[in-house]
This record gives sequence, structure tokens and C-alpha cells, in this order.
Amino acid sequence: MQKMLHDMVETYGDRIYRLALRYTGDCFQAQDITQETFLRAFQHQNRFDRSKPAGPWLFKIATNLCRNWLRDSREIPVSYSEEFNQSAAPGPEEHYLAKEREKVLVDTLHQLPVIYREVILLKHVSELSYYEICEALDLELTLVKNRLYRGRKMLKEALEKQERWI
Amino acid sequence: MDQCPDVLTIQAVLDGEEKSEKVNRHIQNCLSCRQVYRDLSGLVSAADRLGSEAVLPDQFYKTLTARVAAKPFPAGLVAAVMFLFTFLSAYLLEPGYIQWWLSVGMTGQISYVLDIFFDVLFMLQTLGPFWLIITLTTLVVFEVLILNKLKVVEGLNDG
Ligand SMILES: [Zn+2]
Repeated sequence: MQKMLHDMVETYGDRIYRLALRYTGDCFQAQDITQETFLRAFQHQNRFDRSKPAGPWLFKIATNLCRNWLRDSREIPVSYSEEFNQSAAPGPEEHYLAKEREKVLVDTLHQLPVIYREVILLKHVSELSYYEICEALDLELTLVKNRLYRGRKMLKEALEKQERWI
Repeated sequence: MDQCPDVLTIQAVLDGEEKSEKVNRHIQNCLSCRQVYRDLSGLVSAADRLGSEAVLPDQFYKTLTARVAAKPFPAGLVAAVMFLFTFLSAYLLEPGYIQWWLSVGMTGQISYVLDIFFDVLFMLQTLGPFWLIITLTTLVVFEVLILNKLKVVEGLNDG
């Protein structure tokens, strides 16, 4: 049982964390959501069909936790988190620019309606396949493809509009 | 020339999700489909900027296993035991205290007592057995002190 938990964290931990990080913009919140995801998965493992990969099921739990967070924190605007840039370490000016661009990106993402945002996050941040997104969000394949297309389009257009100002 | 696939199919090719050889070949050879493909690539690379290299902190797994191993706190049981404990100790010390217990209920102060009671209960969730016993003992000592004070004020023994 502990082995199963270990393997799940090893395979999906970081990808769930990144999802939560982009969703909430807060690394502590994101760690909480990731902990809670695995805790719930462990507590409800009898509901899980072991012949299937655990990924979609874990992402379903994680997405629901993110939605709960969103519902409970409507008034607090999502802000840019330092955590995002921890891997890049360029010079001060470059660093500032990269941070600015990062902030614009995250702000733009959060302007998208949540149904598009979720599909985009699962695809581009957690790197799930179409099938896995369908399973995680309980959506038909056509709907996933459609939301992905429209979401990407909205994101690109919004980004272009935003970046004209910097 | 076969029919052009729709934009969602071309997107699937771009995402590596379209296995049809025929569709893949068509896109390579069709000018308008190649244009759609290029436009889509622009959308994808914009969204790809969201990709993150963040990793979970080192202590994550340790914290998780500790939480998994922790048994769920039997709040109901502990509440019942604490209630019995304070009730019995009051009775054994002086049966007259029970009257006070009940009179507290009658005068509507019971909700205040319950509030404190649940606060204590909530606090106990994070305590180990040692501190649990210490807290229970403190609770009883405190109770006895209050009851003794009340006995003097209300002259419980006379009534
Ligand atoms: Zn074509």
C-alpha cells in the first residue's frame, strides 16, 4: 500500500503540484492541494480500479480540490508566485523582464473562463493526453478537443493584447 | 484530392494524438492545411509557455506518509468520555454538584459550556496521549475549583 503511494507520488507528484501552482498561484496552497490529493486517493483506494493507470483519477481529485479552492477564494486575486521562476537564474534585468512576462502570462490565464483554463492546464502544465483529460474532467473527447482549441485561441489573443502594453 | 480534415483533427495531429496515416500525409501535401497547422502551432507554443519546472519540496513525501499513518481522531468517543469523566467526578466529589450541572442547563449557559468544551476537543486533536491526560486532569481540577466557589456562593450544601 505504501509502495503504491510512493509510486503515485513519484510519477504524478510534480505534475499535480504544477497544476495546483498554476491554478492557485501560491506554492503553499499548491502543496496543500497536492498533499490532500494523495491523502484522498489513499483513503478511497477501494473506489479505484487498479487495472487502469492512476493518473486520470488523481487529476480528477486534484482538479476538484482546485475548484474548491477557487470557490472559497473568489475575492482574492491570484497573484504571481516567486516559485515559478526558481529554475531560471538570469541577470537582474533579464530576471525582471522574465518575471514581468510570467506575471502577464499567469494573469492572462486567469482571465479565461474556468472550463477552458482547466483543459489548458491539464494539457500544457500537467502534460496529459486527450484521453486522460477526458477521464479527469468527465468530458467527451470532442468537447475536450473543442475546449482546448478555443482555450488556446483565447489565451494567445489575450496574451497578444496584454503584451502590447509592455 | 481527398477532403481537408477539420481544425480539431489538425490540432490532434499537432498534439501527436492523430494516428491516421492518411490524415498526416494529407496535411503534409495540402497548402491550406499546412497554413492551418502553422497557425495552430503558434497557439500551442503560446500555451506551452505555461509549462513549469517546479518540483515538490523534499519533505513532501515524509509529511504525506506521516499523515497517512495517523489514525483518524475518534472525536465522538473522546467527547463522550470527557463528558462522563467530568460528570462522574462532580458526582463523586459531591452529589449536590449535579444540581448545579443541571441548573446551568436550565439557565441557558449550557451553550457557553459546550462552546468551551468543543474548543478543548478541537485542541485535543493535535495532542498525544500524555498531553491528553494532562488536559483532562486540568479540566477536572478546574471544574472542582469552580464548583467549590459556587458552593460557597450559592450555599449548595444548605439546599
Ligand atoms: Zn487540406
